[in-house]
Amino acid sequence: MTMRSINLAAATFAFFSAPVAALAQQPAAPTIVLTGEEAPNSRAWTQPASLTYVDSSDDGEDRTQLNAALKVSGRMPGQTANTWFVRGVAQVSDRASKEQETYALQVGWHFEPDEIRTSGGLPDPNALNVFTDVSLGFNSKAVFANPAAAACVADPSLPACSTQHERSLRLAVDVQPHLAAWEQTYETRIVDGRPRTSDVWARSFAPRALIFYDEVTDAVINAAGARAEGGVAGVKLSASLALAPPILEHRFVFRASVQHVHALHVADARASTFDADTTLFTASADYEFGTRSFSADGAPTGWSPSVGVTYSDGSDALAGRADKDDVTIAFRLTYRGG
Amino acid sequence: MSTLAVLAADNEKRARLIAALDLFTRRNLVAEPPAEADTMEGLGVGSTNLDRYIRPWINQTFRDPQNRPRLLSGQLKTSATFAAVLGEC
Repeated sequence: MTMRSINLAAATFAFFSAPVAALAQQPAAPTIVLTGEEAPNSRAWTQPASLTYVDSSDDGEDRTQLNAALKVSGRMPGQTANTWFVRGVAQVSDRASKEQETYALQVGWHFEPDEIRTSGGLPDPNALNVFTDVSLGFNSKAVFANPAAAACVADPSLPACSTQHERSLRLAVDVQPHLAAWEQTYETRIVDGRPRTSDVWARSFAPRALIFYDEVTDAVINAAGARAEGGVAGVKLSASLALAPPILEHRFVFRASVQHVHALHVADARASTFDADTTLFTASADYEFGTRSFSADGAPTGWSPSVGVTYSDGSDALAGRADKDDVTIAFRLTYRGG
Repeated sequence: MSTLAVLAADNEKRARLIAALDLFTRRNLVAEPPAEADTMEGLGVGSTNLDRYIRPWINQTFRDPQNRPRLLSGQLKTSATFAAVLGEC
């Protein structure tokens, strides 16, 4: 199903408790960041936190969608750049094309190499750099019914024929490799008193591997009437690519990401609610005619308007997204804080 | 005497930072050194490379020997000026 929609408001907020120089003097000061999804610090682009109101001409109903992830992090003891973090995530949508209701509260640790490889006393751009986040989280996701299923047609009062909520504990190891060549951006010069970027195509590539174990604490009842209890272990592989060529005075930003969740082990009782293999593809094209938002911590600060289209297709068993495709045409306002 | 050697004779820390940043930008920063007010973004240093290579290198090269707290991921931003990054070294 394809839905035409108008995304009226989308915003990224990045709040830091103190300026960079001051933070260096205050090792205990926590950092607070609000984005639109659970994501590492370094990534191909920032998905903004958003609250969306959709006026759909397809079904004549107003719909809302919320995507937000609030992360608080701080320094771990000792001479280290490793950090602890607490993160809350909400992915909620009552849109028919991508109905979803997922909440998570995580406690985790960010690890990075104690030393990077150098060459001649300088950082070696050819050295693979790996960051790792380990987290333990409490997750809640809605499992939506399929009214068209034969069992529900025969008896709509069955528990599996109404929306249920599955709650689980999840241990996750998030591995984020990076090579210098995977990122290229452009320099800015002042021409006639105005900042102008060079003609370089900016690019960013970010692969990621998430290894997880999810154990149900509050099970739903499946179509067979059994409680869908037990554990699921697996891996989620994802790759994101962003390209930003200069067009006129500003930038087009093309983004694409693909992720695949593969379950290595699924408890028998959960097989009907957790598909062993799910793939989700997302692509978007935006024209940014203000402060650019291509980089993870772009500058300068302020509101950045853009207009574009986003297409997504597929499912995500881990996030509880059913197999749907969706097209959104949106005007966005993204705020970048310093 | 190379341009870098000339820079190093004047201020070694500054010269080393310029040489390190030069590895991650298309500009020849050694031949055309940055101004104090130039931002990392303006120089063409990407946010991920700044966070994954320059920040850890500053930590282990300058801050660890001085027993200063390490810069954390996300703390060094592309909006930072060259002078501010030099101040973190």
